[in-house]
Amino acid sequence: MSAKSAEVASVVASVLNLPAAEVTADASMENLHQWDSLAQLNICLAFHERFGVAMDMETIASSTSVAKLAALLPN
Amino acid sequence: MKALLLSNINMQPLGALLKPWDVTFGEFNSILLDLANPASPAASGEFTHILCLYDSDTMMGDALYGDGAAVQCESLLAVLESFCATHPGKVVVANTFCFDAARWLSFADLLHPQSLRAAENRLNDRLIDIARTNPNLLLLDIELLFRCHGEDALLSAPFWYLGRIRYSNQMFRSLAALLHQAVDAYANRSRKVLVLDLDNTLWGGIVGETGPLGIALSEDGEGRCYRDFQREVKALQRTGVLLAICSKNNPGDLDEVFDRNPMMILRREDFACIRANWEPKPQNLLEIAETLNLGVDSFVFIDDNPVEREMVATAVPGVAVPVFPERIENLPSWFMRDIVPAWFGRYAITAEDRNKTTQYRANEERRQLSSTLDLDAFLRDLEIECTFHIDPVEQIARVAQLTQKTNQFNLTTRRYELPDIRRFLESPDHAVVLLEYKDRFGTEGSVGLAILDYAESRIDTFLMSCRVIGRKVEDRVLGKICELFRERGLARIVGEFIPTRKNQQVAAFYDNHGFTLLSEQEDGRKLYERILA
Repeated sequence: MSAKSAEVASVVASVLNLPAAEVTADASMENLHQWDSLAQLNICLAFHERFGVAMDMETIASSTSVAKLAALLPN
Repeated sequence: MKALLLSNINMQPLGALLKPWDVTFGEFNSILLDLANPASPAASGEFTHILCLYDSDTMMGDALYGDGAAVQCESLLAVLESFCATHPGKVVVANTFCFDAARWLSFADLLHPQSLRAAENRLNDRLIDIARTNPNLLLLDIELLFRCHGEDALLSAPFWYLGRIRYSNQMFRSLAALLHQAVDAYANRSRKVLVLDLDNTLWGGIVGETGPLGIALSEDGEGRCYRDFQREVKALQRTGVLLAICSKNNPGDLDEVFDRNPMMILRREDFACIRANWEPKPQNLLEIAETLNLGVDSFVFIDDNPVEREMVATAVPGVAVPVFPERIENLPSWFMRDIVPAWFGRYAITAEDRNKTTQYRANEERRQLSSTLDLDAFLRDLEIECTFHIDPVEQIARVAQLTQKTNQFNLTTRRYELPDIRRFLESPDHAVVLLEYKDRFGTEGSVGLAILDYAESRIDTFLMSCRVIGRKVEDRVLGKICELFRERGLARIVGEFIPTRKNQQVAAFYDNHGFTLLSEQEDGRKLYERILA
């Protein structure tokens, strides 16, 4: 897992209250049943606070996987 | 505590941040119904705290400029008031009204009588009135958060439109901290003593090297940071916090600063205890604790030197030792934003609080007198006057404060909040007996308390502030208690002793005052009785 993905995965794990090992680089709303639409909002709130990346409505609604969230981070 | 959170917006992200509180969320957007409906969970016995955290803008609904406050806001105030009155045993927390800056429509807002700003002021005036008559309503000044951090940081438009989450995570965190602080302050769980270092803490530079006029303390530049800090410390002292000095200095240097530096805001008499010497600070702190007759767990120690802080934190567990700000220009705001709310939050400030330092200093003088005289002669010489107030409604805040803060001379250590005290005051089967103390050195105010349960012929609470311990005043309180029981036609008094870590000094109090031991439990609780002649 890239460093960026790992950091995003740890934010997701802490919001979903899961052990870090259960949130992998390919984790998404499709394959984690705890990751529902309310969780999506909480993940994005935590993501915004942690990385300071501004998110518009479309981005919040569509960034439903670790990979998509990691892609929002600057290189 | 078990809390129920009611709102008109999505506050779910706050839940996890409020730990260790046990928080249940009410139905979405049912705050008005929940408060008004006597069969709602809010009214049930399950919850001790009802948190009403509503969004003012959402409450305005479709009201337009010039409409004044929306009917919903008025309804909220009405149901809030009646809920508080019908549930005096519950603590109800409500935020103040605070409209978005983006709601201001025109430069005429300040003057227009029907503007949103005028409506906001009227709503908050009403809310404050309700809180003044209902001591179980705890107001949360939410505008403070917006002033500190700004709307740009605290509101989140995308989350609002996607999921009715108005706030950013930063806001949820700030709100959680504010709630914890306010509820702690309401229960009087704040610290009592601020202990300060001198060089590079109360002023810039080292007085031993620069002399009393060479230290940085002035109206400009670096010196003003320290002078502003001193102003804040002095303001805090007026709320009842005791000040002490614990520093490595020549005592004579400090005297010179007090006597000669006109820029000092803090004066010698503002400090309840001063230890400026070359002894290790942990030892000095323990001595200050002994002099003030207070535990070190009620101390906050401020020192710019990390080594001294580390030494104190390790050697004297219980003292709060916050990290000093790195840049001196942040000292005043650090103190007011981080230190005061976290450690010294107060919800009610009583007359005793304002005079506390004077009382502790008078205590020092009394102690000096007592070392030269035998006890009985000393006590006669004090010219003690005791006045008893029975069910003193106007001193309800002080009564609650005494039950919450008294540790040493406290037979049962039952902690009560304002709603509990109000119940005692209103119940015909209880009497609240408050002792007001005066002697020739000055008045100590209300320093002794007994709560009597006539139905069970029992002394529920019997405590004395440590300020008057050792003056046999407790005998007079007990005399008054006996008199009240007799007037009530009761022939017997039941007394209890419940041991705690701090009340050993009264373990034998009833044994020494004509009571007979009835039973003793494994945890050390003892039941006594005394037959009234």
